[in-house]
Amino acid sequence: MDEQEFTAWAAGVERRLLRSAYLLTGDLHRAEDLVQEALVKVALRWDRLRDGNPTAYARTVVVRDNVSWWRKHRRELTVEEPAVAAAVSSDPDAAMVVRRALGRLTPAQRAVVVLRHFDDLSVEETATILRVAPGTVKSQNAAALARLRDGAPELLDLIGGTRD
Amino acid sequence: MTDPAHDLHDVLERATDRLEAPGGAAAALVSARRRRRTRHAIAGSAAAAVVVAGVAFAGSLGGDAPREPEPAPPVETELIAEVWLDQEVLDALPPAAADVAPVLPDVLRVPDLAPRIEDDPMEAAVLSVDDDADVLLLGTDGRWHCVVVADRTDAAPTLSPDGTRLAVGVDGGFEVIELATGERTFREQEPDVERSWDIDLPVVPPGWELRPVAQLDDGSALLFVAPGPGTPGGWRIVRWDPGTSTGDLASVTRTSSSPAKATSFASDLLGSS
Repeated sequence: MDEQEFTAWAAGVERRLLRSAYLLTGDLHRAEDLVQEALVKVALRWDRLRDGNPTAYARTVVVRDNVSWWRKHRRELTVEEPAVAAAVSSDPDAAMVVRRALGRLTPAQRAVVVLRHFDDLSVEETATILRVAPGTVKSQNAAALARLRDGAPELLDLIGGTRD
Repeated sequence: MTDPAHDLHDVLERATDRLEAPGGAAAALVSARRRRRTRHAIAGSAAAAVVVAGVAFAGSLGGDAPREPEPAPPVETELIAEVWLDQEVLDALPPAAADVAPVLPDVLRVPDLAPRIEDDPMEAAVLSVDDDADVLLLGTDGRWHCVVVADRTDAAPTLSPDGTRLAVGVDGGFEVIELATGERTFREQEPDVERSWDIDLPVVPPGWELRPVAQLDDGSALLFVAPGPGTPGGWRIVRWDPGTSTGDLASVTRTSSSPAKATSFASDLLGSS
């Protein structure tokens, strides 16, 4: 494989993947593990992926591995320390609010919100990663936003929206 | 007037703006090299086997392990589909056929969680389902179990005909998992060798997917026919006789509460009369 090419690709996407993984999990260490595993899997398949869309593949690995982890450890709750919030954001209060708000969502809803509203993926791209129908993405997105609207008013304060 | 979606994006950006790239490319390359070496070392003592395109490993799973690799069958480069399984035919199929898959429930409710086979071994499975993250197996006792495999490929996980083993594609080959013990063996994929079905498969309506999942002793095949994304309807398990017309199809129509997909059946456990 062309390791220089892989390294250049990884350098360009790694930060975004980590931020996305953190929003998916709310756990910085787990986010780092997910991204690292995604990079390994891309490296293993680089010759096949290089001419396609390795970033989409990496993003898919992050999301699906997170689902797999959640299935096995769903009773484990991580506690976010203020120090971590300060490490991930220039606005630690906002980081804490976002983390708590996303924690109110189901894993599927959370994935849809992150992919659609942070990674800016289309409905179709999100559906492909989650292996669901586009209509499911739309309904999950609507349900997630409704849950945030009802259960996380502090997030609405942050984005300047109304609570009604 | 602000756009709430745009504002949500901005908040998510702000909530993570100090996260920097950890620089994991070099470590990823090292891990990738190590995994390749490990697999190749394991493969050196394992019988090489043929991975079947589409239906994957069924040919290499039959009989007692380990077994000598079988000669590679000829590669089918083109399947001539002359018969359509159109919507009317699918809808007209018998709702249940007692002689096909009698051990399957009428409604397949794939669970969110199931015990791992390492923690709760199973004697045999009749059906494997790919739920994206893990492989779920429906046991002959009606209980679901879970198989977790890191680095899975897109190849469909496949049960052995007797349902006691599962093959799951991984990079460079596949893992064969003994369901009674959880023991795993890596088998390297022979490069550029594929086996395909030596029967003509029917064509399904637009929006539907067809996958051959088992070949029975009488020459017929079990096909998994399922609605694709956005297409309403339930699964069909169709027993397809390539020597006859669509009127000779038998089927079991099942529904599922999950978007997960069946990938293989243990053909010996399904009945073939």
